[in-house]
Amino acid sequence: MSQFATFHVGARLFGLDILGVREIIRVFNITPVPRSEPHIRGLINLRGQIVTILDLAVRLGQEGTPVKDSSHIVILKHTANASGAQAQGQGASQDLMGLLVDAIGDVVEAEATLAEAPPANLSDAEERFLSGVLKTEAGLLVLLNVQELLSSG
Amino acid sequence: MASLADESIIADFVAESREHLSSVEPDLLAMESLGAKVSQEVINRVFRAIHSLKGGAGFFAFEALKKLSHAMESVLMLVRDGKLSPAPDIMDCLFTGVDRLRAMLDDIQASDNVPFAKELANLEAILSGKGVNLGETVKGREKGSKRDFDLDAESVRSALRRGMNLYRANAYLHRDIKDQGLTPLAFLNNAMSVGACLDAFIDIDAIADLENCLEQDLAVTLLFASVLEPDLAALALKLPVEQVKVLEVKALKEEMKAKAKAAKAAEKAEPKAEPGPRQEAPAPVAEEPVAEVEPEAAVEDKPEARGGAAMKEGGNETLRVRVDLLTNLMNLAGELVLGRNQLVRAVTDYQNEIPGLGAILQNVNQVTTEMQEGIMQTRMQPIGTVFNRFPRIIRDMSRQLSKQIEVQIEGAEVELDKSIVEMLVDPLTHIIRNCADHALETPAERKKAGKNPTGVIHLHAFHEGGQINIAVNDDGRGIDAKKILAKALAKGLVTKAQAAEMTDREIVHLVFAPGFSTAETVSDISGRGVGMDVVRTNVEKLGGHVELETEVGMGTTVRLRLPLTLAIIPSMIVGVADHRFAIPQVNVVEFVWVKASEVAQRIEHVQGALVLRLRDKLLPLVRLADVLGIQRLFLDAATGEMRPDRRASIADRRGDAPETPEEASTRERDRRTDWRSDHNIIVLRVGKNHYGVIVDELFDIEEIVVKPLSTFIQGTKCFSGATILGDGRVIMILDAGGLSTAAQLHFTDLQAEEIRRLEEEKRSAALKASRRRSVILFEAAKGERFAVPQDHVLRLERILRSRIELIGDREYIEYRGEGLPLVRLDRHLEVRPLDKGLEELFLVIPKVPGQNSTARPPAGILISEILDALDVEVELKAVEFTGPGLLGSAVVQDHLTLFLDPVNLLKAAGLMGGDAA
Repeated sequence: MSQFATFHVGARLFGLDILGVREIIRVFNITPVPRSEPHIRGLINLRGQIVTILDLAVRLGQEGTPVKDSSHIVILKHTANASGAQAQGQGASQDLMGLLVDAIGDVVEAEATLAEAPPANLSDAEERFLSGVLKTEAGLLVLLNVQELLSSG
Repeated sequence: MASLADESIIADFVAESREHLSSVEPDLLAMESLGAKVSQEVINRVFRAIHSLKGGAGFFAFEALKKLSHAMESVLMLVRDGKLSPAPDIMDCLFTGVDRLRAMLDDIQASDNVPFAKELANLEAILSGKGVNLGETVKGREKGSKRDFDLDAESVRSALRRGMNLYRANAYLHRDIKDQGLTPLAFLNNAMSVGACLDAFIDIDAIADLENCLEQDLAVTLLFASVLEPDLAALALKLPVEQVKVLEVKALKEEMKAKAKAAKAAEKAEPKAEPGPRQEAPAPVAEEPVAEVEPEAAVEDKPEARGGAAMKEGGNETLRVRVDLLTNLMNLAGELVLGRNQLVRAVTDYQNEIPGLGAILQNVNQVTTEMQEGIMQTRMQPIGTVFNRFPRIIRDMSRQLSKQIEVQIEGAEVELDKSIVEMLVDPLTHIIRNCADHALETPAERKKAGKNPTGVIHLHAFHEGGQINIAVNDDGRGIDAKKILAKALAKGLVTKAQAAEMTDREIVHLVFAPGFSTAETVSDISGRGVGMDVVRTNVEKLGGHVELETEVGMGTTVRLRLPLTLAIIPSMIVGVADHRFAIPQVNVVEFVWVKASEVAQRIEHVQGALVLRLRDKLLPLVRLADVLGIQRLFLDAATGEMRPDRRASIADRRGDAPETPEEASTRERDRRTDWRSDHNIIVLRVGKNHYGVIVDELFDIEEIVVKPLSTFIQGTKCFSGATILGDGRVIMILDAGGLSTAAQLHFTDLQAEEIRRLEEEKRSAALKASRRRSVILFEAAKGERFAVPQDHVLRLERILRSRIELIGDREYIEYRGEGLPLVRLDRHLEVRPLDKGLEELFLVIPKVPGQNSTARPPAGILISEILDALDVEVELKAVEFTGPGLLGSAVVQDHLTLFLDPVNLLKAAGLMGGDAA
């Protein structure tokens, strides 16, 4: 059984393997970055480290939503460069990423191997970022492909 | 084999070996320059460095490394023993050997693939020339067992000659070395401090022999020669006694005995001959050889021995720390400072309530500051790490170029942030190569010029004003400004007009211009200029500056000014709308404040770009908000709110009708005159170009800690990093170069425009001057104003009306004893006559061109009053009632004024020429 951190973006429930999540924090003071790609929401100061925040909704091709009381940031253990996890260089430790989500859900236990392929009726943009769908008690859980989310472009 | 050893141990070995090699180079240079006079100490130092490298290589079974270093060691041994003098060709072999070793260390696992046959052959040729055969080995038998070890014959001979015992020592990599806090090299160094290491290898047999094999601990076998007794040797090696065994070298001993006999026989025959190897039995400690070994040991304790050159026992004084660990520590320290600030703010109110809180806060405060400084210090490296590579480079170049060059280094101990030191390598190498290649003359040329045939390159680093200065000075031929200028003109880097206004200093700095240097300048221009723009770009990237001083025939100095650290930079914090940005202060030239009321005059459009007129120069302007795509806000004067600003350009106005002063004063709160709408312009420097950035607000200058940008954001190009302000807020650091690119500033277009304007201004100034007139303003009839150009007036006279005499219908007055005809304007022009009742009148006596001032004037013009004499700038308009003698009319002092041409007036009055006579 794997544990998944779940969160809402728009009407859907998304999930990430909890081992890939560093921490989840409330949203505060995001500094926008002019001229950056639209899905870059900005930067925050997480105890002295600068974290780049992705707007998950925009990344998945939806409309960006304003920050609400329920909004949270999921800070990832992964870093933007895929090899960063094993590289010990300073770049990796600096390049922290976080996902802006509308609301945070429960931690769900499920068998990862039961995940089905994403449904075919997805837009191309979405399909790229999704790795599968799990049926859970809380409903359908869409699993995210973190590597793709964090790859540039 | 190498894979058996721990990766981290190998990494340590590589790092240490690199240090050894870098310390070897200056010593090799010293050996070369001093020749046979070189001190034993220096040779020993080199020998030991190469020796421990060889030992380590044997340890880890890096065959190529071992072979090459062994050959080099053997050559060095000959030098040490005085059998070989360090001639340049031998040194060449050693230098190339060092290069090869370095190449092998670069990729240690592939070190066996580095070709070194040529180097090895060269070294072997030297050795065989001295009768040393590298391949020659002797058998050494372990006492009490039947195991034989192959030993290098020459080394053993050398060791026996010094009265040393041979030992075989087994050391277990983990138990005996790592767990003792040592590195393999440190272990070897230790061994070498008490003797000489003949060979080191990983002993498979020993592992198999011993029960330790289960522990999977690698046994390293050290074949070792020392003057120490077996038990003492074990103690010195910090190994258990049973792991150190004595080796017998029977064959060699016999051979040497025979030699010794022969030597003794020779001694008898010729008593003065050098004492040969005299010991029959090497087992006991011979007294004499100890003295021989001593100089080696003495090196250890010499404190002045240069850092890496002297080998430290065990390495207790320094620790290897990963750089990212330090970077992390530095971040945390910065965070601590922030936390401290917040803490102090939060508890200030309780200071009186809690006794002793003030003292505690002060303590925390101080410790935090010191800690931050301390951590910064850990990243500092002496500039010497860069400087010390230059003697070698220069040595190679001077041999290639057949020049004599001496390198002097001063201030090698000056410390800089590690990252800066690393990034300085390329620019400095470039400058030094230029010095050697272009600036310094050949010995023959130097002699001719009356200079010492040896050219000097002087490297000097020093602190000044919180910055590091590095000066590279040569006493070469200097840079000829004329040649530089000719080249720059030919390349179209400057226009003739620009060139005319340039100082020599400015011209010389053209070598930094991009596109100045090409291959042909090398031969064309005496001095430098190859890729100096690259040097400048690199140094500026580091937040520094380059300057050049030169005197033809005397030499050139290149000065670099650099910040101490890249991590903390003073920056100006600016605000646009509700965004904040940091601009590094090194990029800021000045700050210009344009009053809202002056905006229309000072800011304008040129070819679609916004420019500011700043001291007769056109400064391209960008609005930070526009470049970054931030919604501009303006303060609505009526409501006091910030509202989106939709104007396309600063200079835009709603209407073009000029405001009357009254209107302007009634609209005091208009946003164009309100101080809150003044423009804050920061002038930034990009290379030699400047441009202005319009921001809404300026805040303090803060010392900011630069944090690298996420890869997601690097694509924006406008930012060089991010930082966290004292209040915890994240802001971006603007990159002056990237910003100008993003704003698509075209500096060259503007320069052309600037030149065009300058010329236009010159023209219009000339035109203005031609329009500018000095006039005398007067009235004839009341309210009718006239002006006469002053250069048409000879003098002005006051007369009484009673003195006017009438002859016929002409009036005269007595003037200097003669009758002067008078002219009334109303007789010739359509103007009113003079008032009848005036008692006092004035005369304008015109100057007739070509007549000198003492000649009798032709006539005087009667006027009623002189108003003023002034300079006016007027454009004369034709008047409808033109008559003879009228130049035209213009408004002077808010009155319509007729400009007279007195000479024509007199002509019309028939008072000129023959008529006047």
